[in-house]
Amino acid sequence: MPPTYASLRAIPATYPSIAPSSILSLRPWTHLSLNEGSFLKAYGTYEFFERGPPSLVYSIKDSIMRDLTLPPTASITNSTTTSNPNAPLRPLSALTSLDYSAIFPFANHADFSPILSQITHLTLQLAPAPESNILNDRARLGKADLGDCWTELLTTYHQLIEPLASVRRPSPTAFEDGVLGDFVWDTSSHGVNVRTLVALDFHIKAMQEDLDTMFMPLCLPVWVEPQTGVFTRMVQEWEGDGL
Amino acid sequence: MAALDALPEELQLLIVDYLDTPSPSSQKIRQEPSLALASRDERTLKHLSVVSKRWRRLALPTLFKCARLRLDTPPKLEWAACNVCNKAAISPGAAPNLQNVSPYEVDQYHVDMVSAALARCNGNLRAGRLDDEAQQMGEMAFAEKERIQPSAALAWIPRFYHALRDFIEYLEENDLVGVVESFVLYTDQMLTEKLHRFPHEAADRDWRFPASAAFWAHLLSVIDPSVVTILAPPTDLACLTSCAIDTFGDWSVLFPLMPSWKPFLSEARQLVSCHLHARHLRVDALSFEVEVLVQYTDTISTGLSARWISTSSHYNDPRPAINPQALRCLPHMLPFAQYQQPIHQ
Repeated sequence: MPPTYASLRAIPATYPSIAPSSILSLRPWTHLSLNEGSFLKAYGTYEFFERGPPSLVYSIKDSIMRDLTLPPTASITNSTTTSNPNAPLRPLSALTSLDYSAIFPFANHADFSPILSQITHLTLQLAPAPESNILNDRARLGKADLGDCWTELLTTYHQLIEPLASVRRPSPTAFEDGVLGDFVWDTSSHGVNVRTLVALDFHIKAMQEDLDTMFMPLCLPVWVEPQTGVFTRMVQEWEGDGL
Repeated sequence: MAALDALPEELQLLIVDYLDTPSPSSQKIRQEPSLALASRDERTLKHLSVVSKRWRRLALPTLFKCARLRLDTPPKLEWAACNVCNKAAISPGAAPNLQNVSPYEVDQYHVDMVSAALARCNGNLRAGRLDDEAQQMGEMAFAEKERIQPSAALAWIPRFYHALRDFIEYLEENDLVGVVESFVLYTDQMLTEKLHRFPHEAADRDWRFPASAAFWAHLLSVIDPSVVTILAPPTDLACLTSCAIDTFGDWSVLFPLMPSWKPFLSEARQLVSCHLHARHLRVDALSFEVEVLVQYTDTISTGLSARWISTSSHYNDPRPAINPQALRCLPHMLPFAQYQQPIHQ
């Protein structure tokens, strides 16, 4: 049935935010792919890192972070309309998989660490696709310093790995049982639900050594790397084993 | 081909199934976004669909598994028969009274939205903004200076509504509503000027926000695709997703505004793609482009448009009289003289 004009709430209330009638609220979307293209020209501008691109990322992250404490089925309208089955959902409340692609996005822009408690599958591609010729195109490269570009890429991965790193911490039940020396393996940040992390930039041979070093904290027994650049969390098998 | 035609329909359907290849985006999803992402190189099934009416009937359900709709295409001549858009264009200064919309029937939300847009424009003109300068310049000139002229405020409402309505009617007429698994909405830059640093703050002039929200609500009330893809420049993507973005900085330099653009020739405009999956984690997005049964003109290039060729008497026959002023409501109109040329050759 076509909508009624009076029911549309199409204008975001503030920045950053998502309007209640957004397409992002009309379905319980489980996967979001966002491809923001090239940031190369921005590197040629003065103090590029202080500038934010016109991007949906901020509103998407805000929507997930703002209501993480609410149940996924909570309506975004108000409490009186939650019984209406046609009421819009909280935007991206069911989102568990995020696929982000861009060409050298700024590290402070592509920072998804605040939403890792909701995202279980995260795929990143931050360098040009293997078939891209953009780095050989002077016009497209502009005044960008490629050193800055690769630094931003590594910083982006570094800030992502920090909360996911394998750590060994005392078991919560260690002292209750009166047995010292019990430990559990976990990620360094509590509440991280990422089960699969895919870093497609491992396909760049020249980057593999640097990335291997950087991803060293994602290691057994918490993480396993079944394929190059694909990290799968094994924590469920190890939880409570008191290793 | 005669031998193929002699095959039982079950075997012909099997052939069609074998021609159902993955969508181009499965290979291009991580390439730099461009309008080419919505096109496929493999066109065998499309070619088959233009062989005969029989093969077209067999191929359409497979073709429309992945449907796409481009917003910034030239408006259809038939849209000018919409009395709502007609009245909005012809009588911008009149009090909105758009309830009598026959014979071109439209959905009520379209009537209400145009009414609201007209009311907003008239309110701006009359509520204290018509000062001495405006009286000297004349209402329309003043309104244009203030960027509140009705044609700008209404420009994209017909595009959103009628493009969608045509698409849905085409699906319904060809019994394709249930086959659409993936839907792509894509557009090049819609506006040539930046209305506000935060685009949603200019929503009183930019009616793309309510128009796009209505578009999605209407579309998803008819079809239930598991994958939706939106491909547009950043500011336009914000309108199409009803998201707030900040265009602060020199990004207008980084993403310069140009009135016309060939995606394969220049990177003048940055495109962003946004894929949403309701059920599947695997990326599977962009679409087929459906060919017309018989290609007539360069401007008519989609199966959707074919409808206007094959059903010449869909609206009123003889064709409704079109007031030249009515065409002002449709953005990027071809010169009116071109509309005097028959589209059937």
